[in-house]
Formats: sequence, C-alpha cells, structure tokens
Amino acid sequence: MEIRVREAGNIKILDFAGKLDTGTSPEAETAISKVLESGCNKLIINLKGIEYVSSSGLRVFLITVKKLAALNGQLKICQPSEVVSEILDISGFSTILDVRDSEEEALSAMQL
Amino acid sequence: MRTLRDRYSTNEQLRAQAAAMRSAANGIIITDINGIVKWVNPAFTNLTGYEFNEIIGHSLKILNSGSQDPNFFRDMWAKILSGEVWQDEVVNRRKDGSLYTEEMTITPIRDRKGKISQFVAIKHDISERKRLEQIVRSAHERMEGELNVARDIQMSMLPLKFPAFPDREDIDVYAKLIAAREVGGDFYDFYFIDEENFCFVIGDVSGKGVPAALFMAVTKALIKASSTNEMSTARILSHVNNEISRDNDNNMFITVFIGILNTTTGYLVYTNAGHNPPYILKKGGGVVKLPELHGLVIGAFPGIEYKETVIQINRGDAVFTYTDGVTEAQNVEGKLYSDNRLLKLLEKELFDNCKVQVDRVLNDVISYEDGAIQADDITALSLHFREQTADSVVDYLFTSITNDLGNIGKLTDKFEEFAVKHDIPAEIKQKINIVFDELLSNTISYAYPDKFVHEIEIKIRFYKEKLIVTIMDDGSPYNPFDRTSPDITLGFEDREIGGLGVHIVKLLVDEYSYEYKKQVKKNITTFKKHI
Repeated sequence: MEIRVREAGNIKILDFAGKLDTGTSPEAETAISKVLESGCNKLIINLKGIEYVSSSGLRVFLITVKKLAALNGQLKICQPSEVVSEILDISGFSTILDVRDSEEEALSAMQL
Repeated sequence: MRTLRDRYSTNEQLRAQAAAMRSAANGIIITDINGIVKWVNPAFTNLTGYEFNEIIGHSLKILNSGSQDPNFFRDMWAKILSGEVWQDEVVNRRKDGSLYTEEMTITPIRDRKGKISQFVAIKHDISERKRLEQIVRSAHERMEGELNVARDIQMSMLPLKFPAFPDREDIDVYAKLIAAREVGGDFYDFYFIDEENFCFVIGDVSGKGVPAALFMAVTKALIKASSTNEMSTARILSHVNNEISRDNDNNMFITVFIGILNTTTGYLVYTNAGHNPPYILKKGGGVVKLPELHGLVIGAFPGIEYKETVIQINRGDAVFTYTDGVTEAQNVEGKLYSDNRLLKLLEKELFDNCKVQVDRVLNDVISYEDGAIQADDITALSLHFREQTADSVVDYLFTSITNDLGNIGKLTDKFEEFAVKHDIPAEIKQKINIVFDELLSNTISYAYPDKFVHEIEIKIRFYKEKLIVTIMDDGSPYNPFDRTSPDITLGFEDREIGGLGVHIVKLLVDEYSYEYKKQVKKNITTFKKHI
C-alpha cells in the first residue's frame, strides 16, 4: 500500500492507497505510530485510494482510536469506498469511528 | 457252381427267422390290416405284461395310454396304409396300468398281389433312456439357473439407471452390457468422486461363468473403494492390483481402463491396464485413439507400478470405451468385427449423445454377428463432457500458497487478474479478497502448531452467475464458522478484534460451509458468492 502524510495546521492527514489487510496493516500501523510520536494528536485518515479493508485494517483503526483517546486526541476517517463503508457498518466500527464522506467535512468536524 | 443262397433252403431260412423273432430283445408284433394282433414274441409279453393268448385277436389299442394326441394315430395309420414305414415314440400303458415309453417302428407287409395285408411292429423300450435324459435335463436346468444367478450378480452390480445424473448438465454417460449366453466377466462403473471429479471404469475378466462374475464383483468394489479420495488412476490401479494378485489362486486376471475427468478443468487422467484403447470423439468430428498402455492386466503380478496419462479434453468432446466383445465379435464365417470396423463407424457418424453412440456401435456388432453365437460379453460405455451450461464452469483458478502471511497478497493479486479478465465487478472482487484475507490469515496464524511449511490449496470456480471458492489446508481441524460473532455494539475501549474476521466473512458471502475430511486430513472451507 501507499501512505502519504500531509499537514493542515496541527492536523495530520494520512492518505492511504491500495489494500488495508493482513499484509499491509503493519505498514499502516508503523506510519500512524510515527505520526503520533511526532506529537500530533489530531489525525485524519483519508481512505480515498483504499480498495478494501479487512479486519486486520480495522484492528489498526481500533489501536489508533485507543492511543488517541489516551492522548486526548481525535481520529476522523474520510472518503471510504462503498465496500469499505459496508465493512465499517457490518463490523460495527461505524459506531466507534467518526467517518465522514469528505475530507472537508472531516476537517471541519475536528474540534480545535 | 451253386450259390450260398441255393444251399440255404427256404424252409431252413423261415425256421431260423422265426427263432430269431421269438428270441429278439425287442417286442415284435404281427397284425392284420386292421391292427388285430396275429402274433407276438415273448419280449412283447415282458414289455407289456400281456400273454400271447391274451393279446391274439385283439387290437393293439389295448395298450393306449391316452397320452397321445388323437391325430397322432390318425397320422400313423395314414402313413402305414400308404405303404410307408412309420417310426415314433409312444407312451403306452402296461397290463398292470403303469406307463412306459417305447420307440415303435411299423412296417407294412404286402401280399403277392402287392396289396398291404399285414403290419410288423417292433417295440423298443426307451423308458430308461428317457429317465436318464430327464436327469441330464434337470441337471442342466439347475446349472443354467446358477449361471443365471451369476449373470444377475453381474448385472445387479452395474449402474443401469439412465440418465445417471439428471441434475448434472455438464456430464452425460451411457453404458450397455450384452451378456453372452454363458456369463462373461465384463463390467463397467461410473460415479462422481466429489463434486467435480468423475470416475469411469470398464473392464473384462478372463474366463467366464460364476468365477468370472465373482472376480469381477470383487475388482469393481475394490476400484470404487480405492478411488474415494484418490485422483491418480495410476495409484488406484497399483493398489487394486496388489490386493487382487495377492490371493489370486485361480490365476484369473482382468483388463481395466479407468479414467477420471475433472469437470472444471477438462483434465482427463487415465490408466490402461491391458484393455482395448478408448477413443476421444472430438466435438464437430474427428476421432483420437488413446493408445497408451500403462501396465499389465490387473491380477497377474503384485507390485506393479502403473503409470497414467493426462490430457485435456474440450467441452463437447466425448469418450468411447468398449470391451473386446465388440472388436472380437465373429460373424458366421468366423471373421472378427475388428478395430478397424469400429474406428470407421466412429469416424463415419458425428457424435450425437451417449445412448445413440453406444446403441449405434452395439447394433452394428449384433448385425455383424448375424445370428452367429455370441461368445463373449459385449460392452460399450460413452461419456460426454457437455458444452457450456448454466451449470458449467466458465473459468477457474486453481492455485496454492504456503503458510506465510506475506503470501496472501500473492493470492489476491492473482485473483485480481482473474477478476479483471472476466469483468467481475470491483465490489465482488474486493469482498472476495477480504474473505481470502480473513480466512487465510486465521489458518496461517493458528492452524499449524509446528514450524513446517504447509501448502494451502485454493480453487476458484467462476460460473456464469456465481463464484465458488474452496480452500483446503492440512492444519488442525477447525471450523471457522463455529466461532460466535463478537459484540459489535461495545464502545472502543472494550472492543476486541478476535472473531471479527469470520463475522465479516459470513456477512460478505452468500453461502459458506466447512467440513473436515478425515481420510485426507484436510479442512475444506467453501464459500459461494453470487455475481
């Protein structure tokens, strides 16, 4: 998978592309850890380029939510594909993640 | 010079003849033209119980048992009155009332003017011969009965219900065995080993009769038992041969052709153990012989390692197999039907369906024999790998990975390519890749307590409107679908990932199933996704 990190003020936006599954989630986990270690506690993960997410990917989201809660931070997920939305729904993750249709929405939902 | 006859005076001759008639073992009667007895010899009395004085002046009707048709005597009279000799078997009644069978010859005697004036009847008691004939006949009938039992055994072991697989549109099969008068040892069999592998067998036991029928029964059962989990025809026959030849005191043997057709891939694996070469009838015409022999006849020597050949046949192609009862059928002149005549017949007419094909060949053989005695069983079996139907696989992807998490991506890449090739919608493709990730990561992470490399087989079958995927692994027996779904309403603090993957799988696919195949020690996980 491909991961790019952008900044919008004190918010860091991670663009994920490819598949988020057993093979790639360690990579995603490492990238997120680095961002958190840099002192950032406001994170947006843009899933625009993500084809699908398996439970390994969901695990990465869960870990990130828990870490950010400890840091008093926030996580927004945006632009999931239809299939990814379906996965988030059937796994119940849409109730514990703040999922937004667009990046703008995610940005404006971020409490500064 | 005087002749012998001249020396032998008429008087002497008559006396000698009278003595001969008196002492003859056969009953001799002289009657007048109306059948009234004028003279009988002592043998007549011995035969019938009637003394000379009791019978003289009476009609021979006194012996009538009533067993004969009234026309019988009418015909007899017509014949002897016309001057001809009459001979037949007659059931008569003795004086004591008992019946006996005699062979009677009546010769009309003419007087000097040439008019029939007397009859000489000679009676020969054949009751004993009749009794022996009856014994032989009933022994023969008993033997026939046993042969019929053997033939019944033979026939009852064969699949005789056609169409054999009415719910399979991709396979048609038809077979027919015409038993010789004496039971021969032909047999055939066919069955699905599993959903996709179709096994068919044809064979011919050396010898005839009850032993051949029993030998056939044993061989057929062994082949079926050996093929329950075996896709190698070479290994099946090697095993069967060892079993059969071990205690083969009768030195019987059997020729066998066995084939297994994979109905997904069209791969036909076959082994020929001394049997007549089958033919592939190509769709649209053309006949290809399968000439290979992969080993000796079954039952001759233990320890033979049979070989096998694999070819790929196309949908629409058919296979035609037969026994030597076809090619070695003889006409009245003793000429063989021959391989050549069979080949010409197969080449001449386009394959229509299995029944038509089998009947065409067998009818040709029967008409060739043209009433000559059928010396051997005649058997033909035809298999048709039918063209694309709603039921048949459009394409397939059979692959495998070893138990390393990093290999799941190799599978999903391959499936990606396959999905693109067949325009499978992206959504379906992504969901199936998620399912692969969930199921395989579970297996690779938890199914192998050892550190060895294990192979996981994945078979993807693409039908017109569905995908069916089978995953086979040799890990610890474990049904992933037994796992209860996690509580997906909990807050993130209490959420767990365990079990979530299978929960997702169950919701993404349309059908799923699991079984553990003990014989091969494999977990078989299958899921279906409609497109």
